[in-house]
Amino acid sequence: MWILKVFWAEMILFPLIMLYFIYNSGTWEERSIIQNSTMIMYVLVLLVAIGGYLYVWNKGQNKGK
Amino acid sequence: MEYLNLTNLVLWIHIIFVVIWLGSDFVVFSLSMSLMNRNLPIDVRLDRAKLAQKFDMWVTKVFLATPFIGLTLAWLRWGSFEPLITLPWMNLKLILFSIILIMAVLLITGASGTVGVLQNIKDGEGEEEENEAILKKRVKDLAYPAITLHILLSLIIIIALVGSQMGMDMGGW
Repeated sequence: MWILKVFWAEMILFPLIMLYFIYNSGTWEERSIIQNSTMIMYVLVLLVAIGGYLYVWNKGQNKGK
Repeated sequence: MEYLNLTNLVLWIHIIFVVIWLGSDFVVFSLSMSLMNRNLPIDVRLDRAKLAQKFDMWVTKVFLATPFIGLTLAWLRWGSFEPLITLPWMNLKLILFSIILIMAVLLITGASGTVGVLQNIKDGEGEEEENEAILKKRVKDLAYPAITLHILLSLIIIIALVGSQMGMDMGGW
């Protein structure tokens, strides 16, 4: 389903965009706690999204067997 | 006439999309919860599961469009994406939204299969009690991320309403 492909693309793309914005806003010491927390959260989103995609992909591969 | 400009138009599209997202998600949530009601005829439960699946596709489309409309709005409003990071209320929104994204991944990875389980119950395939238990577990497992998502989205709406009323130096409207 095309919408699910868009979903996974966005789950990877959006955190990357956010991380790019935060990374360019200064160094770790220059940023506030809330800005650094936002950065950590989007790293987490990225990891969960990659994990989720691999889980669904693996499920699809096993179904095909 | 000053009010009629592209920024305000995009702002209203953003608001309407969030309302549609939250409203439709409530419909999907209540339809999903009703699937556990064994007093309902199996055909009704199966129809509700299919309806929830169709609704969920619309929820997904609106959910996927909302953050990019938000980014467009930020650019139109401030001419830069910097306030997304520098304004504390926008930062708070982004943190809550990151949890929503995690919940969305959990929901998508566990969502499929409900119609199949109900179809098995209807066709008499496998043990009925076992299928009912699978269905109940599936619906309940998905209810937690769904409720979390609803609460976070409501909080984001409140933060946006409060933040947008702050002074112009705080990125207010």
